[in-house]
Amino acid sequence: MKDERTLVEGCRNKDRISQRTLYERFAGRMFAVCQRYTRNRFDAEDVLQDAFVKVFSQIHTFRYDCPLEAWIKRIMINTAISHLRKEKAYLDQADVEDYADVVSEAETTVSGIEYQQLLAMVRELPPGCQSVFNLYAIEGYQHNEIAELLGISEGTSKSQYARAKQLLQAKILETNNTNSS
Amino acid sequence: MTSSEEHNFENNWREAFDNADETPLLSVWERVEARLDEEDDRVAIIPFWQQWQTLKWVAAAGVTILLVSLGGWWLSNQNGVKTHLATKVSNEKLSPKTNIAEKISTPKTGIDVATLKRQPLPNQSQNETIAAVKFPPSADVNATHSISVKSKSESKSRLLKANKLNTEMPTLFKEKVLAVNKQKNKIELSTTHLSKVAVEETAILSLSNSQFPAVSDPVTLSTPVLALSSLDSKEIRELIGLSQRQPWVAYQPVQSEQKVQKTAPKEYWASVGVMPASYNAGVVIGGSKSGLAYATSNQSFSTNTAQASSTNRPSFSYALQWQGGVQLAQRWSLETGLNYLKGNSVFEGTNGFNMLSNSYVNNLEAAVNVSDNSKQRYDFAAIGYDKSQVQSLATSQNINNSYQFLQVPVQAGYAVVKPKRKVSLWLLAGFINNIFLRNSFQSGQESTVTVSGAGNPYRALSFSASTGMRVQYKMNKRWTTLLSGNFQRALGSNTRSGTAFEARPQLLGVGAGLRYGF
Repeated sequence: MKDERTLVEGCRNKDRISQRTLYERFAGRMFAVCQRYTRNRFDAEDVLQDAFVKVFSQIHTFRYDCPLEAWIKRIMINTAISHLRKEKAYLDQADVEDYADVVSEAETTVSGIEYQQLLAMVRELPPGCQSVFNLYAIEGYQHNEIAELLGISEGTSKSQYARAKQLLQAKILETNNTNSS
Repeated sequence: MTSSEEHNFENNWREAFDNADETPLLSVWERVEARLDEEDDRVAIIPFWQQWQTLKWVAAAGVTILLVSLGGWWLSNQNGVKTHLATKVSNEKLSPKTNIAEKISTPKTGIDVATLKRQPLPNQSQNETIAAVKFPPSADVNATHSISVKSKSESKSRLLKANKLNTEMPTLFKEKVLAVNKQKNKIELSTTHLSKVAVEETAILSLSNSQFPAVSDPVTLSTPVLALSSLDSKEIRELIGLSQRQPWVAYQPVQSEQKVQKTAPKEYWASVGVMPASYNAGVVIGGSKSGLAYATSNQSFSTNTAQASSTNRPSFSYALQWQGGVQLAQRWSLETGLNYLKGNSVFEGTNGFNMLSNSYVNNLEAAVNVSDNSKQRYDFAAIGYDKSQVQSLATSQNINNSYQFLQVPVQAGYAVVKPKRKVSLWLLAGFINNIFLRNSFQSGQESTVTVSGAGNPYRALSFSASTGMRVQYKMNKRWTTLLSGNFQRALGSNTRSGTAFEARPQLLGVGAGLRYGF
């Protein structure tokens, strides 16, 4: 298996074998990331394609100051958000009222629910909620960073997340009830 | 809900997605590869423009070397003529004081070719990181637009493939078609299949793998899966500096669009200015005609009035400038115009007394006289062979010269500091066409002699090399103030060949002006 640095250098030299190897090494994980930010598989593949083209065209800017996977993942997320902007899917992010959690944490645990079901839940969120949920809950961004990234206010980010959380809790509860019955 | 519970909610989801790994279709790689091939082709077609940022320094050095080479070639030709003339004068047994060769064979060109170092490329990625974080609407939308068009077309072709697959398996999907209203600008047929396949994507993959090996997911049949050595996403988040803040990765916009933006508008301008200057006429007495004339007539006053001399002192001069230019690129400009130059210079000559005319004659007026094809200002023939007509005692005289030229400069400018800024700095280099108007100088009697018109010893058109720099202060969109330094050096003598004297002027000036941009 090629060393990561060797792989990067090969990609910088536009060596197609190195590019293919890098793609195959990370495509699966990155495709899962793209899936979370898009509405369907085809959009996810489009994002994956665009993002990998950017990875190879910008590989010379990679400075080894973070893991290669983290660098590629950021490109995936940025590309996905650009894709949403292009589709104007983020424009409906008006301020929403605060949503109080009505269900206890124990009732809404995701353990026992299959990955594909969870993915479907995230995809069914309204577009604004979906992006904010992914960035805050999964990627670990702060609301001020999300606000800057999406061009929305910090308050909007918080209320969108609260809304996403409530919708997901309801879906999990419903799924758990279905599975138990 | 407590904060720990809230944290648990996020941790649960994070753990659920952390190790997610889904294999995309092989066609994704094929499309990535096709895009990479397209980019490689584009780079191969226009490599010059891709490397322009680097080549501009080479171009600037090339222009400088070309100008210096032309000047050197011109100077070497002139030196050859001088050496020949000096030999002839020596053979004619002129006075030892008239050592023209010594004076002329050591031209002080003063040209120093500095080696230009290639400058590093500007840090584009840093700038664009900021742009990416802030998502400027114009750049981002433009950059993604082309991708959008391409992606949609490719999605459609993929959807058609899915449709084909679906028609081959009608019983599997016929009952599961969902009518979904997607976006307005998508084809309805495609949208239907998009929704259908999206909902049933798991089924498609499993069925295609088991029942249709010919169209099964090729990724699983391709090269062996490589072991993943990289960190999983949870470990990545826990790295110092990444959990709290993950800086966004910059994407460079399409380079061709950048080039278009940089080179799009050509800016024209006109300017007026005045340049106080120090002008040195660089007069050297000596030449084939002087030696020949004096030798054949055997006039001994040549020892007084035609001895070699080349000491000049600059005097205050000025140039009035009307110029225009065009900005060819972000940093390059081409400039021309019309200057009126009043060049004053002092020539340290010698003066002899003509007993016949009872007047003093200095060596410059004698040299001009024998070189002027149009008229003889002094009747040397009347002096004849009578050596006693000229007093042999020579006295020095500071001869004030006043030259007038019309100049047509042609210069290239290069902006060291970008012209978009309030204050910019330009380097200038080029040549100047000098159109001779007149020369006035003091005679031995301290009256003024004016040389002009056809047949005079000066060339009607001579050339100078010009270089300098200019500081520009942009007051508003239209008006800019200019402060410039300029050095000019004649490319050879501005006198005709065969004259009894030569003049190779140089000028050093500092000017100010006002520019109006159109």
